[in-house]
Amino acid sequence: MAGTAPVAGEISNQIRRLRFDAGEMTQQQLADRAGVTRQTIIAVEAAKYSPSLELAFRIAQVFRKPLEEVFQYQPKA
Amino acid sequence: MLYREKSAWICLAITLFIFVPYFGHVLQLFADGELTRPVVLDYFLGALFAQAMLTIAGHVVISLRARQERADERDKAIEARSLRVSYWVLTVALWTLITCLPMRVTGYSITPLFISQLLLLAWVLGELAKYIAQVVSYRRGY
Repeated sequence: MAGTAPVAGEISNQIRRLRFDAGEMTQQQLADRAGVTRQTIIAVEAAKYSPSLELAFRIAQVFRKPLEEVFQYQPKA
Repeated sequence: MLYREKSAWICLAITLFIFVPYFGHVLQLFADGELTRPVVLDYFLGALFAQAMLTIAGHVVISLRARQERADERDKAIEARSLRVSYWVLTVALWTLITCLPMRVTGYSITPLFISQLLLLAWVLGELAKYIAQVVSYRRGY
């Protein structure tokens, strides 16, 4: 039976790389398309703020990528 | 810096600027036995008026320099966290007062007027905690 301890981990993302791959999209452009402020995009990119599920999906949709390609979850050992 | 972060800084600065001297003055009046209703009421109304005017002026200035964006989910999360912090500080302050006020302090008379000032102090501490939590959250990203 799997352990019952809660799974702990960290969320990382590929937003910066995806922005450059998308014709060097600026943080402000991504913020405008995702419906948030540039500071929120900065915080998400730096992994200082974990976006809500809805925002994560909106960001992924901007890049036309699946969610897992934009955000990754790394369980802690 | 976002408008909301600037607003938090302004509110924090104004609250400190107004209420630190205010409570210093009230404490001095209490120590001198001169804490009377007319004196405190005048001072309190003056502090409220000054705080209102400074807050309005400060927000007009930052509105001219920065566009006010709609609050997004991070802004709402920061606001929720700051309100939680404020609630806990206010609760601790009030329970400290509830516990300590029945104790007798020799040489001083704990009047209803003084109690009202202590309650005001508890509220101001809660407000300061809220603004500090907002400022720290915005500086750290969240």
